[in-house]
Amino acid sequence: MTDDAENALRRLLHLLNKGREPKDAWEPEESLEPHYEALRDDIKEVQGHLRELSAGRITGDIRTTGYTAGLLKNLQANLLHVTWQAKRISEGDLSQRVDFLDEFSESFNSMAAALQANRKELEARQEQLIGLNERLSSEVEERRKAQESLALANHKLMILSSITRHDTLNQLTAARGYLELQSSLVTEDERASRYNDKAISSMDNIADLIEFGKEYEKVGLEGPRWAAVSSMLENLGSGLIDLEEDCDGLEVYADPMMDKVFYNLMDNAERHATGATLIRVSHRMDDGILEIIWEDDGPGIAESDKERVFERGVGRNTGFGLFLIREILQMTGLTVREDGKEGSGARFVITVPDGKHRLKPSPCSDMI
Amino acid sequence: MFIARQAYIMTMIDDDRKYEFSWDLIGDLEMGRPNLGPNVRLEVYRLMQYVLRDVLEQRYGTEEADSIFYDSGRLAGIKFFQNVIEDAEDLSAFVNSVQNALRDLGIGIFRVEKSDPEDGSFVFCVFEDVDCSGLPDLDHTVCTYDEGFIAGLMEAFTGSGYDVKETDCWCTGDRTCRFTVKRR
Repeated sequence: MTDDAENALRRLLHLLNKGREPKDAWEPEESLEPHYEALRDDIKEVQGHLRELSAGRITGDIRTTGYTAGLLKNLQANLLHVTWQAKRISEGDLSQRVDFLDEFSESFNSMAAALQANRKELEARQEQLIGLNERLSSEVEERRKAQESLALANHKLMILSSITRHDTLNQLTAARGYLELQSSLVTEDERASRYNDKAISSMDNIADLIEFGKEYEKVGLEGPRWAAVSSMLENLGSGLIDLEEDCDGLEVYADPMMDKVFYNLMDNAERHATGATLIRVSHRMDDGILEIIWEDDGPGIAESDKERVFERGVGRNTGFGLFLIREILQMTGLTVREDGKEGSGARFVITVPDGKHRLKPSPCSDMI
Repeated sequence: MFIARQAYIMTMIDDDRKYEFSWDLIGDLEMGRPNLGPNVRLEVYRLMQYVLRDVLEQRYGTEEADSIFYDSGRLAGIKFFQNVIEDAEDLSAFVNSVQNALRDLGIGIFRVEKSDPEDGSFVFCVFEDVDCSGLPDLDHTVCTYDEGFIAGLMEAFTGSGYDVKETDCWCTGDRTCRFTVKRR
């Protein structure tokens, strides 16, 4: 091999390995020059394209021909194709698959298949949800219609009950009036007088029953709502017993008749807590459960009557006051019990479960 | 060239013709070749193609021979689409179907490099092309039939006419055949 040929090979090898020609000046002999330059230019062009491809720039125009350039074009075509397929996948077409690219095909195809399976599963779940939603909507609609029918029936019943109550009370008042007149005429006959008094008392009981019915039919008539405890405690009673409370900002989720609970407790105290001068309403929280405590300083309730006082008809007046309290409270899951000590005053504890009470920062708020 | 091609197509729908193509001419291969089956060596296919081109060129000149080959490919593409390619609702489904059919029938490995359906321009590649892969280096592309074939496929799929030009070919020293496709 001539020195010139050896030099040419050395320079081309340098170009191949270092990416540039040696800096020293050299010119091939005339017969070698076209071959040297063609080879050098091809190496440079292939290196240029490889540099572009390795940097991710895959759209360059490769104009060189021949086996090596052909391989480069193959690589470029494959890269362009998988790029095109990746774009389709990003647009939602998961049917794309790559053939004949060995491990890349396997990985790509597994990924696309997994995405396709996931999407299928998601679509199935979505379909299920849509079905459930439709069923739910239909049930809600049915329930709404049932509620409308119920409200209408309730309304009619209330009108009927109101008319009946009004007319019955009128008749009772008239009958009672006549009996009282008759009482003044039969004073000589003790038995007749006693029977008259019993008849009048029975009529008073009937009037009480009708009044109770008027209140009781309102329980549960409207949906529950948030009510501020302090607001309900304002202006209770006739002023015979003082009331202290520490329920600022406290609200309970209860039947709109909730204010009747406190009204009846005060009425009960004024009627039965002989000598009572003070009622204290306090609250305490235990593990999310609220207790509202109503205490008076009267004689208290006997141990044997603690549960009985909540029964209908039990009591020295109408016997409906405490019964109604329990009925109103239980509409939203609230309960009431009496746990005072006889001789130290009555103590009513209203228990409000978690989620049915809240504390509002404002000092007082009316029923929402 | 365009007018000559249109005239040629017109002659192909003449009722009195002897060789009007129909898919029936593919024949019942199972019945007809119970022992040898449907496959034939690629050499035989290429022998027929290249001697046919030789004779056509001698008789009609290079340009006309190429034109006949292009139109033959186009007709084949249309018929192939109608009989082999599954119904495709969109470009992706069409490409999938073409890829599968060309691979399964050993025609080539079809790949898409670029697609712009709105502009009507595409770049497709066919690796291991049945017509040219392994041929010696020449100074020109040879896949004229494939150009027409792709034009026919696209025309049948979209309903619009396409011009297809091979820019890289095994015979120009490239290892893949690359076709630019443009809606007319």
